[in-house]
Amino acid sequence: MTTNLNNLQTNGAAAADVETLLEVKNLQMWFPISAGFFRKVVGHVKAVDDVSFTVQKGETLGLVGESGCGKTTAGRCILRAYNPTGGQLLYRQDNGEVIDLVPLSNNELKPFRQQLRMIFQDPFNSLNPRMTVLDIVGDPLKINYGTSGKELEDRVAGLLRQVGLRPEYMRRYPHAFSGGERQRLGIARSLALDPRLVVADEAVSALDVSVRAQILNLMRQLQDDFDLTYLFVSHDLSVIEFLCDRVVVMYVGKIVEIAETEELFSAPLHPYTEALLSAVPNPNPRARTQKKRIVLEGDVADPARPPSGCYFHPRCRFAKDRCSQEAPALRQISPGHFAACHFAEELTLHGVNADGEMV
Amino acid sequence: MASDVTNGNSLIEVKGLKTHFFLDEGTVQAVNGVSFSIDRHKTLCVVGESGCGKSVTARSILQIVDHPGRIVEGQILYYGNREYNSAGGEVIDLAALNPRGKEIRSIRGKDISMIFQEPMTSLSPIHTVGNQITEAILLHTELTQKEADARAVELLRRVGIPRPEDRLKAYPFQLSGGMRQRVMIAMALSCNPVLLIADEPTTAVDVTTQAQILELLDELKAELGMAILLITHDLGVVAETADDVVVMYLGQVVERGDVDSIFHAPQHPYTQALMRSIPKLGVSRHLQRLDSIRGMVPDPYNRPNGCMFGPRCEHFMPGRCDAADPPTIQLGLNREVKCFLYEDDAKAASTHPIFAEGQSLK
Repeated sequence: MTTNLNNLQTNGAAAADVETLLEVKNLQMWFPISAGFFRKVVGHVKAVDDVSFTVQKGETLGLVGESGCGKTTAGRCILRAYNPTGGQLLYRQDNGEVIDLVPLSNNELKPFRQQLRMIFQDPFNSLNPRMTVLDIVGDPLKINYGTSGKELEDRVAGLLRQVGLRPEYMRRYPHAFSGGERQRLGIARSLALDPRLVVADEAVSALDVSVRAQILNLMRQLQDDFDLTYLFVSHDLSVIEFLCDRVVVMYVGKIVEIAETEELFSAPLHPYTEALLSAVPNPNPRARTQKKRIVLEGDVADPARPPSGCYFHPRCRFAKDRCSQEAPALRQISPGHFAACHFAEELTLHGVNADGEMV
Repeated sequence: MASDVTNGNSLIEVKGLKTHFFLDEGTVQAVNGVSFSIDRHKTLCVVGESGCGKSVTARSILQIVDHPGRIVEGQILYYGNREYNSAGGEVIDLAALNPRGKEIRSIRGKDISMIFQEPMTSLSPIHTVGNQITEAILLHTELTQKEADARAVELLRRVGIPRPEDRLKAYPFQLSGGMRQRVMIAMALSCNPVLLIADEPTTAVDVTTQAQILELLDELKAELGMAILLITHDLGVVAETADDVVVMYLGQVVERGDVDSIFHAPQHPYTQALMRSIPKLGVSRHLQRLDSIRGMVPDPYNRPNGCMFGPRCEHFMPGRCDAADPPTIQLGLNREVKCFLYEDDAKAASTHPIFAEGQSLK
């Protein structure tokens, strides 16, 4: 399960590892800022800037960061909802062939749109209120396979059962369902075409605690049942920790750290990851006095005008001169653990141990 | 129903509050018989899932419940702006005041102020930050415009906004989410309130900003000696800020107590289930499944009979829980639970099997 970024870089286009489902290489998504009468382009919002990581078959990869860090944009680029301005998306097909999704036209993308699906954040806005459950869940089947009539109903009933909904509700409209049930509908829809990779963008963020636990358990269950690979985009570290095998941490359009979950949470190598972990409120009132919280100064940098050198340096408590001059590259510090910090080897950072305490 | 919740240091006492919404489809009993008290200089957290009535409770205190909702029953006793004296001071029943009247308007924004969840929608987009802060100051105090401006600069500096003089002329869209929330706090503090109501103040901001805001509120509480009523669904935030906790479910208080006993010895099956279902950082990476509460919060038009939590409760007793409204049982000073499990032996309750199950969070 270890990734070998160096190896992949030297091998060029061919993803060396058979277990790699998707290799994201130097992905770039710059949105132009235009101004003036002629809408002249005066700059770019570097939403995703030179991002590389791999998604292994069968794993859950977490993409975590604060708002504006580019995690959602990265997820949408992978689904080609956006047209990336640079980089490659090397996708390994069923037959083992590797294809770059970036240069494909809409027509050429069609078969891949069945294999890469999305679960959206807001279950209230992502379902059409004028369509019944049968239409919502069945439409992908109708459009792609021409399924209809009794067969379609049977397929939809099966999908609904799988996500824990009663098939009798097939004729109802979304307004008759609660938030948790709607999210189940969204999941059923994304599973209708037997996808290989599911991008879940903040899939449980809009849900209450008790319902969120149900949906997270369901997603785990479905991963086993359908042999799914998840790219789970979230800002919530405790959810990421529960669901993900590996985690990618982003800050202002760039990756700052990649590691296996256990390692990232117990021994982070980037000061930003450390600060994120320390900012999560601990649901134990007795820990209040023990915890030395690292409160970051200031706000997240503006991706249109990022600071020089390391983007995190104005807020970093370890920043030295070098940090404001030279941008650190993402490099492998220990096997499978990458960090973009000049001083990753020297710093002693705090992680969270198995009892939930900062160590 | 209206249990005696006074302990001599109360600032606000809510007694048997009922706020209902009268819609075409029926009546929504958003708040249905809620009693608790807010102590001076303390932080009270009201926690619950969406639709439990926590925000409506907070809004009822300020009489800003949206139409078609209104307070139909109960009292909200406010023990005056001055320090509490044994004679009782001046006691005002906020629930009895006219929502548009002069009296409540002299309290709103002055003695009791509120910050909201989404700073972008609760700040006016067409007025400058300075304008919005000085509005409250000019309304409630005798200060001149110039003095009010100086006060606004001082407040902005206090809440950690860099270059506050320049920011007076800024519009909300020119500020980041965290900065807007700070402006809201500055506005709420402008008249030195004795109670600050914060309705999900950190839900719309990032986790590192949340840490900043919570730290700021804590500092301000210590410095200005106000009480805070914090409405949240995030148990982590509760654990870090609360002195006392009220747990609500479907318009009712199911459990009340100090923060330590709510987290380390929860009594109500709902509180216990809630505590189990939060993913805890550090712990959850070793879990196969998260504990969840079965089912979902019932439809507000179709409330269950008897105990509101009955249909989802693992200790459900047929014929009892669905027959009548469970009583509120006192377990100690400021400690109560609304559940039949504790009815028979409220005194010898500590031997009840459910106590042994009480979640220990180590």
